[in-house]
Order: sequence, then C-alpha cells, then structure tokens
Amino acid sequence: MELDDDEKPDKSDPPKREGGGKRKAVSVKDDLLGDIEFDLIDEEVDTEDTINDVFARDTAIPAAAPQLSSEPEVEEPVSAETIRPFDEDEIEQGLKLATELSASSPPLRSGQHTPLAVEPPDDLEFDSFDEPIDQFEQPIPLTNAVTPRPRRFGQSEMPTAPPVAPRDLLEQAKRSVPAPLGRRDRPAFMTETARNPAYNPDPRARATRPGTSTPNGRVAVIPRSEPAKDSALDFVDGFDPLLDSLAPMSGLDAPEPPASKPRAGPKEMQECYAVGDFSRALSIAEEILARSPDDALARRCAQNCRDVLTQMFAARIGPLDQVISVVISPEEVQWLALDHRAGFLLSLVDGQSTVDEILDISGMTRLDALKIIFDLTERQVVRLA
Amino acid sequence: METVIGIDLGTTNSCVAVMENSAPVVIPNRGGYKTTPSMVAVTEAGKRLVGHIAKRQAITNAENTVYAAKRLIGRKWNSPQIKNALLTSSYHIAEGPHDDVRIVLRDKSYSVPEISSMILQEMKIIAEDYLGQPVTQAVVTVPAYFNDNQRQATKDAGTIAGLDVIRIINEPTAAALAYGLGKEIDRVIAVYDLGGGTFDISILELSSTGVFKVIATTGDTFLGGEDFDARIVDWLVHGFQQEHDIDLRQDRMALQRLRDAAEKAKCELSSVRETDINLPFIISTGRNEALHLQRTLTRETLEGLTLDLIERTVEICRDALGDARLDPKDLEDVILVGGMTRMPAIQKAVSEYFARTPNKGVHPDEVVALGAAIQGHALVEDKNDMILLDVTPHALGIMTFGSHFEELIPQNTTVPTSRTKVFTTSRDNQTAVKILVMQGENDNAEKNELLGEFILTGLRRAPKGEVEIEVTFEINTDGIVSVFAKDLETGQAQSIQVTATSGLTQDEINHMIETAKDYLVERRTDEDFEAAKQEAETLIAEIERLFPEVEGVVGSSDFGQDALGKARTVLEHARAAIDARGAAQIRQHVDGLARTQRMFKGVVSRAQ
Repeated sequence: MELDDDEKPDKSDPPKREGGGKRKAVSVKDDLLGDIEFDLIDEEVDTEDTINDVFARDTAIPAAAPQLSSEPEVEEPVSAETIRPFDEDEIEQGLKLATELSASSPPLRSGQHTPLAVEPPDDLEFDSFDEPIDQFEQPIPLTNAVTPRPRRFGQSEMPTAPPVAPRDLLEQAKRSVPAPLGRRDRPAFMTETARNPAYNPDPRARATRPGTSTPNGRVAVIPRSEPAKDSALDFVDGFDPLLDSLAPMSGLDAPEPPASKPRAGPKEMQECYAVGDFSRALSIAEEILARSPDDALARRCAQNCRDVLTQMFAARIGPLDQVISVVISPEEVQWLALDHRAGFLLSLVDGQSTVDEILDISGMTRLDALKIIFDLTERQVVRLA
Repeated sequence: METVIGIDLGTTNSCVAVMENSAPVVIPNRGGYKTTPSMVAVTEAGKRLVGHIAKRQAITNAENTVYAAKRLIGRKWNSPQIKNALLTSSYHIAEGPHDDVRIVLRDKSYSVPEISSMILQEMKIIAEDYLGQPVTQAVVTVPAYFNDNQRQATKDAGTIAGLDVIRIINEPTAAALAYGLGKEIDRVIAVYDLGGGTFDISILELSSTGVFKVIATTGDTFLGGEDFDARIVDWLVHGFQQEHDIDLRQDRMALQRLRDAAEKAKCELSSVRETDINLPFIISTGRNEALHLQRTLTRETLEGLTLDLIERTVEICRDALGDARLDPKDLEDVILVGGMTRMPAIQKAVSEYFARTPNKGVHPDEVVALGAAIQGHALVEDKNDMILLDVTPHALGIMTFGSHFEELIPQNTTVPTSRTKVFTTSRDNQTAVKILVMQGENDNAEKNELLGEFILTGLRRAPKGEVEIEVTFEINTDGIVSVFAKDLETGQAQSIQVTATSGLTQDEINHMIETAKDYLVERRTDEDFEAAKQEAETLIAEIERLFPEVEGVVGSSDFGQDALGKARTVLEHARAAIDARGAAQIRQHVDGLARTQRMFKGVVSRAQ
C-alpha cells in the first residue's frame, strides 16, 4: 500500500494511537510490512497491543518490531560530572552504619533480602519465576523473595527456571509472586517442556536421549515432533518461540511436512507476524519464496523477521564481545546431537575469539549463527565470559 | 633512537621481529602466534579481517578473502602470472586503470599494494602493541627474483601502512644474516625455502665486504605447504567417500574444517609418528543424522602422499645449481627456511641431495624476519660491517636486433652506478632507433621485464652498422634509472628516466594512506572503548553482586536508601555511557563505580 507524499509521516514520528487504543494506520516507505499491518489492524486485532504482549514476555528483546519502531531513541549519556559519586565521608558513614546495624542484629545470610517492597508495574507481564526488571532491563532488587543472583550464562532471561536451580527455590518463587491474572491461560507455555529438560551433568544425557547416540560416528536425532517425555520441569514455561525458528538445528533436517497438510499462505504469514511469531512467519515466508521466489511480500516479511529474530537472539546472548569457549571435552562433543552447521561453528570456537568474531567467520547468516550459539549456550556446551 | 622492525611479508604467512638487547626476537601476535597468515577478508557487514581470523573463514567466504596477494604485487595486468591467477583465484581480480591489477571485495576495488598494506599494518600494530610505542620504520623482505616494480609496490604497501620502508632486502639474504653468515668469511651457500605457498631455492655468494650476491634463484610460486595440506584433504575426502558415499568437497564448511585439520595434522606429524583427525558432525546426511570423520594419519602415510612434491623441490634445486654452474659439494652451507622444512622427510631429502646436514639452528618460520630485524638495527645504528649494500636485483639492458637482450648493468651491481655501451644501426638508411629498456637475465629480451622505451630520431642515412649510438645507463642512490642515447656523429641525444612503479599514482597512494590512517584511528578507538568498557563492566558486575547484601544491611535506614539510590544512578549512567560507546565517557564514570564498589565491599565485610 502506498501513501501519497503528503500523507507520509515523518519516520521519526512515533506510532500514533487513535481512540480505543487502535493504532492509526501508519506507514513509511521503509516499513516493509505496512500493508500487512493495515489489514490486520483494521480488521482483526490490535496489532500493537498484541506485539507488546509478546515483547513483554520476552524481557530480553531490545527493541520493538519493525512496524512499531520509528527512529531508535538514543539515550543521551550523562556526564559523570553531573553525578556525584560517593565521597569519602559518605563511604565512611556507610561503613559506620553497617557496623552499627550488624552489631544490633544477627548477621544476614549471604543473599538474604528485605521483604517485598516494590510491586511490579501492572503492565509488565511476568511469570512467577520471572525476575522483574527495570527500564534498563536490570533486575529490580527488593521485588522478589528469591535471591537475585547474577544471571549465569545459560540461564535464559525468558521465563524459564535456571536448569540447575534448587527445586525448593523455584517453588518458593512460584508461591511468593503470583502471576498476574490473565497470564495463566496460555496452554502452549505450560505444555512444551521437553525442549528444556532438567540439567543433567552427564554430557551424554544432556546431549541425547538414551539409545539415540551410537559411538560409530552416527548420531540419530530425535525428530522435533516427538512428544515430551520429561516432566522434571513441568511447571516451567519451556516454550521458547525463538528456538522454533529457521532451519532446524538439533533436529538436523526437518522432516518434510505431510503431503496432505495444506500449504501455509500469505494470510497465515501475516497473522504470525502480527502476533509476534516471527519464527513461524519467517518459516512460512521461506516456504512461499521457495514456491514463488519473486513474491515481494514474502521477501519483505522474511527480511523483517530475520532482522527482529537476529536482534532477539543477540539480546539473549548478551554482549557480543564476550569470549566464547567450549566447556566440554572433545570426546563429549561427539555425543551431542548437533548438525553439521553447529559442528562447524563449534569447531571455530577456540577459547580466544569473541562471539562477534565467530559470527564474522562462520559463513552463515548472522541469525543462523546466533541461533546456534544460543542453543549451544543453553545446552551448556559453550560458555561466554 | 627509533626502533626499526623487520617484516617477512610472506605469500602465506608474515612475521615481524625486532632487536632487543642486541638479539633479534620475533613478536607474537595477540593470539600468541609468531606468524600471521597473509590473508585479508571483508565480511558481509563490511568488516575487515586480517590474519588468522581471515584464514579461518577463507573457504566459507572464499570470494571475499584474498590470499597470496604477493603473487600479484607489482605485476602488469597482461602478465602471464596474472592470467594464471585469474584461472585459479577464488576472489575477483580486475584490471586497474594503469595496466595494473585490482582485487574486488564486496564491490569495492583494492589495489594489490593496498591489500599488502593491510597485512603490513597488522604487523605494525603487533609491533606497536608489543613495544608500547609507535613504529614508523621497517625493513621488509622480498623474494630474490622480485623485479624493481615488485619491490617498489612492496615499498608503496609499506608507505600506505604508515611505514617508512628504509630497505628492501632479499629473503635468502635475510635468512643468511639471521644465521650470522657472511660476517667474516666468503662462502657459497644454498637457501632452501619451502613456505606455505611457494618454493624458492637460492644460491648465494656471501662476501665479508657486505655484498650477498644471488648467483642463482629459482623456484615454483605454486608449490608449498598448501599442496601438502591438499594431499591430506584428498586422502580424507576419498576415505570418507568410500565409507559413506558423500563428497565432502561439496560442502564449504566441511572443506574449511578439512583444510584446518589437515594443516594441523601435518604440523603434528613433524614431531609425532601418528595423529588422530577427529571432525565430529562434519556433514548431515539428510536422513536426520550427522556423520563424524575420524581417521588416524601416520607419518609414513603423509610421506607417501607427498613424495612427488618433495622430489619436485629437489629437481628445482638441481636446476638452480645448474644455473649457478655448481655441484652440491661446492656449497659450504645449506639453510632451511619456511615451516614446511620441519617435515622430517624434507630434511632427509635435502640432506641427501646436498650431501650435508642442513643448518637448522634458527626457527625456519622466523629466520627471515629475524634477518630483516638485524639489518634494520644495523641501518639505524650505522654498523657498517653489518649493512648490506644496495644492489640491482636484476640485470638492466636494452633489446637489440632479433629480440636479443644486451646487458649493460649486471645483476648485483652496487648502486649508484653508470655503464655505457656503443651500438650501431641494424638496417640500411635507418634514421631512428627505438630503445627498449629492460630488466632481467634472460638472453631473450621478450622474457624480461620492459621498464620503458623511447625513440632516438634524426640519424644520418647510412648503411647498417655505420651509425654509432652510445647508450648510457645510470642508477642514482635513490634507485632511479636514467637511460641516455646519443648519436655519436651528430650529437643528437634522447633520454628517459625509469622509475619503478607499483601501478599506483602518487595521488592514489596519498588517498590510500589517509584511508589506512582512518582505519587505524577507528581500530584504536574501538580498542580503547573495549578496554574502558571491560574496566567498567568488571566494577558493575561486582557492585551488582554485592547489591543485595548491602541492601540487606543498610536498606532499612534512610541513609542506606539514599546510598542505594545513588548507587543505582551510578550504575545506570555507567551503563548508558557503555551503550553510547564512548571510551572517555565510560572512564568518567569509572571513579564513581570504584567508590561505590569500595563502599559496598566495606559494608559487606563489616556486616559479616
């Protein structure tokens, strides 16, 4: 859909709202999915709200989806001169206070918290095991009864429990901060647990399920469609839409869809995109492009999805200047269920190169490489530091 | 006194060395390696990669990775070497505006000296990081067969990289210097140089007067360690195909891994008798399974696979000695250069052919750079006994009737120099002569390098052989060759000044210098930012770690609440400065972070 020149808004303008929370039809030339938005906004859903909903679940997502983002807001760094650091007197006073307080009360256990003092904002969606975060995406202290420990690598910022966290801690977390109403009725989040099995220190167990690996050089991989058998984390939200994206990795070559299954079309692609299921939207877009390589809409959608997913994975991984190293022995590596692309990427990890360097030399798209690195970190095959 | 670095700008690997406490030392790069692959790549995002990181993606990003640029430097577009490179290179080679060669990476065209300058710049950075001071002067080595244009192009590459190349020296000469040869006694030696991509054998006559005369040099610019690697790759691919009926060559990622593994195995087999090659998940079959490659390679197998390559080097040695009209027994020393010479089978073959144990006291990968560093130090220290004299690398002369090359200034003549010869007309009533100035040793002028040409007109009409023309070649201290032709009867004269050229104009070079400077500034800025960020992030992480405990101790008091609020502000602003990517801004916040951390640590320690 094209707008006349005089109707075209300034790129830097933020999306405007019209009564009832409906977003006014906004398009800029660069908004490649402008057409999709209009259809969906006008006819079916409040796209912005839907997408915000998706983003609120994923606290690591750094930016809004393309159609909602205008120019990124650049935060003006504040000069240190305007911030008064602690002076010597204040430091002295703090130390004195600490001495007094500790003398008058028994010492706190390491990591002990003061009671819940700050209520999470109403519009911030989180599950019981989610740590609330502030506007800088940092955990807000005092809001959770669970000791906020620095997030170790491999611990997802998604609403999943750390795989090694003690169960009682998780239970405690679950009880202490009830999930807001209206967020519990998401069956997908509660059922898909098999992809985040409980951590098992045995790399063989971590890598594959019994009977799937053979030491003769072949690794049979369980198809992704296999039903979940593991109930260790059944209360944990294991659904991660990102891990469903793009080319299958652990599943190697994805099984061909049954011939009887109807082909996904542009409408489904648009719907997936609108609700923030960029992985599925991309998958459909690629299917469409495989059939009709000149399909402009699918191409635009695929590109937008890739951009968003790349951002999301990058945010999950954290700073890309972290050095990546393999934390298991070469003998253990071969017991993992990887495809050749992950195997290749793993071969590039030398304990000296940063994530950014690995991305540069991987020869894959940034998205694919990020996805593999993310998966390897989740499975504790590699570590970032 | 300024430090001069010695750089071995190799076809496949480069090395930088410097004199420290009167001894030459090789400077390791950031990865701890003493040699750096002479590879340059541009990523999809437009980022420049140089060295090991470029090598690691050389196959997966083959179109945008330049290797062996040295084979192209200083060559003309129509030269046979370029025609050959057009057939074999994975990157795009295009014709430049001055009959030179350009390399296209991600739609941007680079001259060959520009590519080499990126490698030299990397060497410069490695040296500067090690020495902690700027480096601006260097001695760079080139193969003995390089002509003036190739040498000038190498010099230009240094200039673009911000280096004043105070001397270009021959690689075998540098190797001899590193062995301390030629200091007092005259002797004839052979330098057997098998590198990553080229093989050179040079016969040198060393004299205590400082002239290292290259009596003969020959080689194969397409024979080196890579060919040995390729044999191992073939062996692996063949074995895998037999077992699984899958051709691993069809997958770039698999091929990259095979190449890396082959090189590693080859190096290991120089010290052990067998090695395991283990490449898990080398390829997916499309049937929901990934295959591993696991094989054991023995030294005997490797030697069997590469026997013909080793024999080829011996054949070339035989040719070189033939050119020098020498027998192996006439040689008083044999020096091994290049990483491949660590292979026991090569050492054995060299020992057998030359009938003497080769000299291998200096690390073969480093010996050339060490020699260059020694020479650089001698030049700035003004140690006359160590300074090599500047000589003409190749003979200079003109083409005469029948495409014959008439030599005026022989190879290895020290400069400045001047030589004159008289020629006559070759046809009756000839009124003009064309003087073709050439460089080389081949009697057939067409096989030598054309440096320039001019015409002398106004000759008297006379039978052939009657009119005499005096031709004078003059080389000044700057290496500029002037050629004068004079009709001895009429005094009519014509001249030409031949300056070696890399194919770049001065304007182009100036522009490239500026671009290289910008790159360096950008890179240094990035490094500065990374250092500041790391410092700040360490403090932030420590403060965050302590925050809950501090909160537990002082959070209930008003002062504590204020202090915690302030600490949060400090953290937020420090993070904002990191996001803004300003090293100076981050450093402004480091003091605040350090104070916060100090207080937090104190609070926690007192509370325990």
